[in-house]
Amino acid sequence: MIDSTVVDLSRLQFAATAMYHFLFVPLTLGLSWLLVVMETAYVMSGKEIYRDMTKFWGKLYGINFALGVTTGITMEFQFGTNWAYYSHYVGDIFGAPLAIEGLMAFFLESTMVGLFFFGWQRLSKAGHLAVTVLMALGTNLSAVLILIANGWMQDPVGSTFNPVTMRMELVDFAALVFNPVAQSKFVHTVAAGYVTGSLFVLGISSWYLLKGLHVEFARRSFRIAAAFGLAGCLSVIVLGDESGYAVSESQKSKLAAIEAMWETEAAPAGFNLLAWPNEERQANDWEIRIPYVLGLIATRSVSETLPGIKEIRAANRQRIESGVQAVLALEALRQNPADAAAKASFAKHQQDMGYGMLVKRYSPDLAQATPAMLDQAAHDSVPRVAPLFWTFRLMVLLGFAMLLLVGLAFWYSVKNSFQQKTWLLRWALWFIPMPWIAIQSGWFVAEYGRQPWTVFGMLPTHLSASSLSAASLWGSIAGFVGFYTLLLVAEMYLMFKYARLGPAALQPAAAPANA
Amino acid sequence: MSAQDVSSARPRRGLSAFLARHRLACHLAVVLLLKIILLRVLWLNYVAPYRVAVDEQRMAQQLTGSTKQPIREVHHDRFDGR
Repeated sequence: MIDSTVVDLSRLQFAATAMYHFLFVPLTLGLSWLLVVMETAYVMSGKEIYRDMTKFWGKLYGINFALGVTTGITMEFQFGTNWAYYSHYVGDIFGAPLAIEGLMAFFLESTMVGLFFFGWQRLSKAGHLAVTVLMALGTNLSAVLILIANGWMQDPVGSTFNPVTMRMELVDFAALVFNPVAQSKFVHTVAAGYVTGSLFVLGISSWYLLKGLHVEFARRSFRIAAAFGLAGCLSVIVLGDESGYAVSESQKSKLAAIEAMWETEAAPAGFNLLAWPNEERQANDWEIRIPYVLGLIATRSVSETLPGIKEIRAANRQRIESGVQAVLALEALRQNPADAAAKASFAKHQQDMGYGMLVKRYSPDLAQATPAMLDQAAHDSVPRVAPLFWTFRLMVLLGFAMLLLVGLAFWYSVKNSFQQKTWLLRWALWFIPMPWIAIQSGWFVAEYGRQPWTVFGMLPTHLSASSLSAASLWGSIAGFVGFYTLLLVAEMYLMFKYARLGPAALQPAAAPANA
Repeated sequence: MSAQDVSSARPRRGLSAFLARHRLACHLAVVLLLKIILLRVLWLNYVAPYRVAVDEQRMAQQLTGSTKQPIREVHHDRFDGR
């Protein structure tokens, strides 16, 4: 039997490092474009205050960027160390966008970061602005390539399995790049980053205004952040809907779990605003339901039905039976490539092979698998409902709360009265952490909702992990968590230090550590 | 005239003149060299010995083979210089 402790620890390590890494990334994504807006205002108006704003928020961007890079590099190594079978199986496809990201987007971003900080005295105004724009483009290009890789894990398009090399091979690069799941994830994720950057600037500017510090600097920063944040928030919600639609097409089990929809119901399906999912009973103990809404949102039609969890499990049970035949045929083919019966059986059942592999969690020898094992595999083919249901709602709730905040901030910016609204300034200050909570929740929904797969429908998670020992995994998890926590403390210390100093941090005497 | 002025007035030739002209480039080259050496040492000591070797045979065994052994770290997982 596969050692589930090793698999679970490998998942825990990857989840922990990814979540730490994604504390830094969204702020980098958001601040990069805010810097472009501020510097454009400087170049167009010639007002020094916009240059100071670009430099100050750029300093905070730089701190965050450095720590984001540090935490990101180790993640790529983990594919080789902790997920060796996964890397062998899908490396031909998954490796391509990661390599392009490293060689093109990250190098562009890193080079431009250097020029951004050291080029103020050496470049013309327009030249420096071009550097800032390229830095923001590099940051976003990094995101698109990473999300192309992740999108392929969610919906593996443009690829085929080669039974000779025992790996997936890329057959359509355009399909990989223009995968609708990847594209909708990208725009949703970067827009969430823009909201993070906006609320960060909005919150710190509010603190200055509440304290009566750097008032003109804070007022202009507040206005820019409010406008950019409103555009970002609206984008997140609209594009999140698009992302949900893509999920309803490609990952029906994830959608059903997110919505705690146990039974298939007549179209258009109702939306569970709140419910208490009960895994034992495969039903909700109670629910507050809005008729028709889910069907309309998820299918954009009044006639298309959405399958419930029970129906999905029943369909998966059939695919598992078919998949077992595919795996057995593949095993026979590897022993005798001329076996015509095995070849025909493999061709017939190949599209379900991944589902057959799900049974290996319960029976190493699929020929010995019992109906009870197949039932268990079918049951486990849908992720647990309650974590997804509640995490998704937390994300959505925070998203709408942030929309209300930036909407009001923008409204009072237009009316030029936000300085008098101390409740709004306090709200903005206390809401600084909220985008991070929403984003981490979103990633949890995306990744936990994909279980039990690393590559949806193709490769189960329990077959992807390297054959490591639990002891070595505990050691590396402790090392990562300890080291990353130190980095996080360093980031918080530097952020607080420079945020307290405000534009005074731009004076060399005020920032000896940065000299 | 200070000692520094005297030394700066002295014409430099050969390598020292080149280094003086390309100070930044020399610093960057040294830093790059040190980085490469450091990364190589780290790689040889901490990464290469722990590389998990996976080929199509191992993959086939993982996905289809009726292995009775628990999937745990074993000696042949380790990089052995092949």
